Amino acid sequence: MRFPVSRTVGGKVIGFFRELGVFSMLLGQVIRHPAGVFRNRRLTTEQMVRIGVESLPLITVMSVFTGAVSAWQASYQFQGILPGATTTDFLGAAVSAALLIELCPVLTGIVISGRTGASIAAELGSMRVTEQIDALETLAIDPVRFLAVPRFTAGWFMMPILVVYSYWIAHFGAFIVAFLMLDVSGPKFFNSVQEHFHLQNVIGGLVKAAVFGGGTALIGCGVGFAADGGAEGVGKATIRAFVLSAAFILIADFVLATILF
Amino acid sequence: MIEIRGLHKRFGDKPVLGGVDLTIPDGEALVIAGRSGCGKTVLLKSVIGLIRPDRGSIRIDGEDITVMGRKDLYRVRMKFGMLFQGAALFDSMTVEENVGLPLREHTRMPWPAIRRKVEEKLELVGLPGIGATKPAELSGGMRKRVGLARALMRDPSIILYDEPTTGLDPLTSVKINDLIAEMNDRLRITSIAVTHDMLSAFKIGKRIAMLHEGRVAFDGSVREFRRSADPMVRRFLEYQRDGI
Repeated sequence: MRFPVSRTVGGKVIGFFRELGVFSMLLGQVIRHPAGVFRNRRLTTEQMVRIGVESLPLITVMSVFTGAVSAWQASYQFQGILPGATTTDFLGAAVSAALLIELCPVLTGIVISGRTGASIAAELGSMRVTEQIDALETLAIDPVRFLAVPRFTAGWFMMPILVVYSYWIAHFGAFIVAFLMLDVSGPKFFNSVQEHFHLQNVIGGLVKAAVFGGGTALIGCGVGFAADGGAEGVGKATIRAFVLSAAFILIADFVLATILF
Repeated sequence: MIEIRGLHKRFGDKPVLGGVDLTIPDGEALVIAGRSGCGKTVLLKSVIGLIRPDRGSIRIDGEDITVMGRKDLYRVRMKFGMLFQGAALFDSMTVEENVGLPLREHTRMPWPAIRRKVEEKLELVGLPGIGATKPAELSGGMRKRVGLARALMRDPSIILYDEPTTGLDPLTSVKINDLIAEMNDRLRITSIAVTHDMLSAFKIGKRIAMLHEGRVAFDGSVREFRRSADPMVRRFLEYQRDGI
């Protein structure tokens, strides 16, 4: 082989655009079925419970410690930059802005991509290799409407709700560390949060969350639909779904940050 | 009537179907036989539009499904029922939900009426009262029978069976064969079964089409098949008898 590197790179680039095309087509098919949400109310509700309610314990743990470590790190980084008393004055504001804009949406997105995106890919992949998706086709039931629409809807709808929940819990975690370990009083912490609060930060965070949720569900569905090769294929699809959705969240986070803030 | 003309299909470099021609009149019980990997399942899945052929046509009651859009294809599929090799029951649903799904999705029938019809079909396949069970709790033979009940739910005019006895013990295979033969006789629907199990083929078929190297190498009645002097048919029957 004369150009192994260029061939490999070229193959990867073509593969990337092919994947992009497949997911764009799936998005197009999902969007063409708005009525599917109402027709499959029961399935959509089931997915909302699975993606939203059943993720709460994990989101709670993640958010408490994200808030806690943010407060601790912010206090450490302020030392030497701001005069002693000012450090505690700005702690609440600095931590809150980071949580609202970046940490809660992105970390909730990554957690959901690991928990839900991978589980959607495993479930649909297993349906693909056991011919259940073919069975839907033979029953004249569109698999996109029946399987992808409820999951996509639940994904973009539930993620902002999970992120709002994460905001509260993460602020609570940050306050506990500030109060117990950094000697910042409650009024001082929350006054600082309130004084520098911008609604735009919350809206931006929630827009990001909806994009991350819808994207993660869509990637899980696309990877699951394309699975083949029995149990091994399902295992690979699960890993692929997590890797792709995590990469999607990080790239989309940057793109949305440049547009929204 | 199903008319298949010049059907070609290849996967990558491997040709699977190389010009299949078959006509299946209404009410016929056809078995497609042949060795593993000869393209039987590809042919069956092409008939219901799950696989698009590279060339050729498949006319169902005069309509060519190989050139149809999704919406028209779904309309034609309403005439079909299909029993898959592994039954393909939906794991997340109960037996009742599995069997009732076609009516739930395609009609406005209230659930109590659907449940009554589900119970009727489960009785037809000899499994009354198992509606609340999950597929994971059923044996292989029971799963196939539930799959058959689901395939019959919309009273199809054509039913497809993909390896209906594969993976079953001999006694259960006999039960499934008897059930399929009884359905064919009682309901008088067109049936196409794919199998390499000749005991099954002789029990459920009236006509046998044998695939070899991507083409129909034999097409005739069960009686003609059994008496055929064609060396390829003889060899296949001998392999079967020797259990190879």
